[in-house]
Amino acid sequence: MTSAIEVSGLQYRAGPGFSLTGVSLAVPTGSIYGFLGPNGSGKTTTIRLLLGHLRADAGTIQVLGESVPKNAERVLARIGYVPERPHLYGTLRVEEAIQYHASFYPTWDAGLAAELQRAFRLNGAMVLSRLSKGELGKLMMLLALSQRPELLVLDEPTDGLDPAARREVLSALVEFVAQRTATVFISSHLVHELERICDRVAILDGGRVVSELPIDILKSGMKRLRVAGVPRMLPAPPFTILTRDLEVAGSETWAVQNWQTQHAEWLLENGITLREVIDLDLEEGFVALLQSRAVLAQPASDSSDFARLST
Amino acid sequence: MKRLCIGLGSLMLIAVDARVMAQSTESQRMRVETLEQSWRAMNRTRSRGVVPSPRATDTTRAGALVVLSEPELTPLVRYAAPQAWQLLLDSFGAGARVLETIDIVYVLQAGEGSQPGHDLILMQSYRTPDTQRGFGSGTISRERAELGRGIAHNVAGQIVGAVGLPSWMWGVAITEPRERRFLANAFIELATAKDSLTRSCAEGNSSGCQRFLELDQPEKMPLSDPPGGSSRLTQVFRHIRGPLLRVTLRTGGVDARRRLEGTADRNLGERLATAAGVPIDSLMTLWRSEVTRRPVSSVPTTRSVLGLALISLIVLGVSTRRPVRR
Amino acid sequence: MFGQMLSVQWKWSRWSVLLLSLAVIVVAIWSISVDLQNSLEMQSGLAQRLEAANGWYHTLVWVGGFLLAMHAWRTDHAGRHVYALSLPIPRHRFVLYRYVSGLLFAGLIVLTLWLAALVATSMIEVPPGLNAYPTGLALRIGVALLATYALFFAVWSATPRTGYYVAGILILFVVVNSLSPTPVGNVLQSGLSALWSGLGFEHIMTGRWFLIDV
Repeated sequence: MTSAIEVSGLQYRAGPGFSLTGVSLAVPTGSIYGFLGPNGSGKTTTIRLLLGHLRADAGTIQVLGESVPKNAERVLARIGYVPERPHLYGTLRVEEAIQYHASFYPTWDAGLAAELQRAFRLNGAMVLSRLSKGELGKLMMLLALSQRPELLVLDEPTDGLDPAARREVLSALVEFVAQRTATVFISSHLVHELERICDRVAILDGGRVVSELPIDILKSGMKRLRVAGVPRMLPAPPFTILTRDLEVAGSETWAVQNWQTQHAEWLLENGITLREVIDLDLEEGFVALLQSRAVLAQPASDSSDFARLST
Repeated sequence: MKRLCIGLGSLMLIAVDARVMAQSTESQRMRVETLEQSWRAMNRTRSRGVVPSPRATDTTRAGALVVLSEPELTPLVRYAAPQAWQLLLDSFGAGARVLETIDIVYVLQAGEGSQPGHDLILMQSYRTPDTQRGFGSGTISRERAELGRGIAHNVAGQIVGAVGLPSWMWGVAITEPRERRFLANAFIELATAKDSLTRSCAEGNSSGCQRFLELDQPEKMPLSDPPGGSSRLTQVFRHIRGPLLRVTLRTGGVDARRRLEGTADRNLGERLATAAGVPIDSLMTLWRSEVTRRPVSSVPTTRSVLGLALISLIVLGVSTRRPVRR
Repeated sequence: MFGQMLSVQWKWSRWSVLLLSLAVIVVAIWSISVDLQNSLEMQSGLAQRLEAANGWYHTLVWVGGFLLAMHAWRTDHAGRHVYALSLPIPRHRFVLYRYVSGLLFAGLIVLTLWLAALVATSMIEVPPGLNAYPTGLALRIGVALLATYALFFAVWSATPRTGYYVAGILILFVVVNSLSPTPVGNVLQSGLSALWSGLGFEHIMTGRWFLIDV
């Protein structure tokens, strides 16, 4: 099994105005896979489909070699899931919640659970409804990791956590991944977080996967170019222009994707002066990518040739 | 000889045939007209228009029960009359045939009911050998499941009236299943009454029961306050007598009434025992059994448990929720 | 797994179970606490007390069924069943465990009633001619409680669509009952009556729930 998750042609309509369209992705086994997207792009919906909570209108989903939702219960025994919003029973105490959860997983590691409880400083006697958001987030991670899962599915695991809690959660995650061959599928809109840990990312926007690449390739190709002398009719470039911002005196700043060094020659051939190449981090590139999609989604107007971007 | 046998056999067949027969004859029409005239003459209308319909000429006979009806109601009557007669047989046994000793005709016709579905009127006109003509009417439900019971309830009143103990009975005669529950409550009151004699009746003391039921004296209106009683016990007093009359008629058969009339100068207990054809102690035992017949089984039936099991399966099926939607 | 589910559901339900158990004890004892011994000062009224207790038992059966079912599902409802659906257990088994847990709590209440009825009837002298039915009473009330629990369990666990179906059936029942007798109405009514009595529910829910009876 080379892919822990394989999704092909996923279609799902949640209601008027929102649908997942043709979502396809492959999460290599043992990788840390980032699932990026702005709020409302369909990340949580995709995860629910992966877990069998929802039934797709079309397409196929294979998780850990099993078809979902057909064999969802079997698959869930091998998945550690941290949802966007904590879903535990608020009337239970921490210790009770751990015992309850543990009873469903034969692979439960009580030693790891105890160790994490100490590391996260979770008081076993505290009622869950009285825990802070950070403590709940840590408890959710404890439960997911102590299952010793083959696949960790994390939906915005650090959302709303303070920096300290966020660091603790991510550290535990990284340590877990380092110790065993597990696949991690982590969805977030906190791009800078994923940048540090992910091997591969998929970017979801408006229910579609707009990009799916190893992260180093994604990052390496993302640049900010400061150029001048851009002709009125710009031929199609060999790279992707995400955004174009006009500056003074005929200069422009481009955010580009898939940039390679030899592309400077193309600029020269077309009379464009390349003044500066700046690396974009994943977050800046992510924002630029989304902006470009927003522009393309708008209807064309006469004055906006400049703003129409090539893809 | 052969012809005599055939003739007697035919007569017997006609006599024992208790199935519903429908006939529309001139004599029946005349009888209805007579009733209507009598009704109007006696000014016995309860409300405007409540008179026997001249169109009620179809006759339905079930046992000793004879019901005239308008043609459109005849199918209903043919369905319900046998049920009503069977209910009366269950209650009064062969004693229900006391109806045959009184000249009584029932007329079922449409009327205006105050409750939806209760728009049928059962009217009766009767005359016992020693009384004036009497009239009565009541509204009953048109629903097929209820019509038989409704007719039986009305007719039971006539049977009780025909027996001729109006003062002692206080005019109460109940045949409905609800009575079972009430009688059971009444017996509990009896068993826990203040008066020891009353309580002794519940224990099975025949003398106590006779005294409680005022059978040791001639027929008369009961005391307004029964021994050691309360208004609650007064209600018990009234309704707990019905079963005694039913048991008497059931045991004594069709001649029970005649025998009762023949003992007018004796105490009521002796009269009823004579009518039933059994000793008074036996009659008290029969009465007590009638009253203490359990209204409902004390344990759930097998059907209940199976029904519950079935419901559980359905519940589990229903409860298996499909995955959440957004 | 079942043990943990039972334990958690007990945590949610225990106060209701305790209160209902206390209530049935009180009603059972109160229903026969008339002075049956003192013939001079006898407080005739046992039948009334038993009738009143009959009504209270009905109330407790409906309230109890409702509460037990509510406790079984309320917390999952609040979380939109996400947690339950994320656990590696088939849905039908999860539902079965919830259902059985509630049944056990109902059984506990009935057991309490039975013991209270046994004790209460052993402490009095049942009047001659009457009989004590502690076991019969407990059985009848137990079956009725299971029936109401099952009904409310289905309602509480239902998706909105199933709720509409249940409501539709109830409305149909009311409409059929209020229909003037027509061939269709009669058939429907007969069908529903047959279901009601055929499944034994008429026998379960009606009748006498008397601790002392003829």
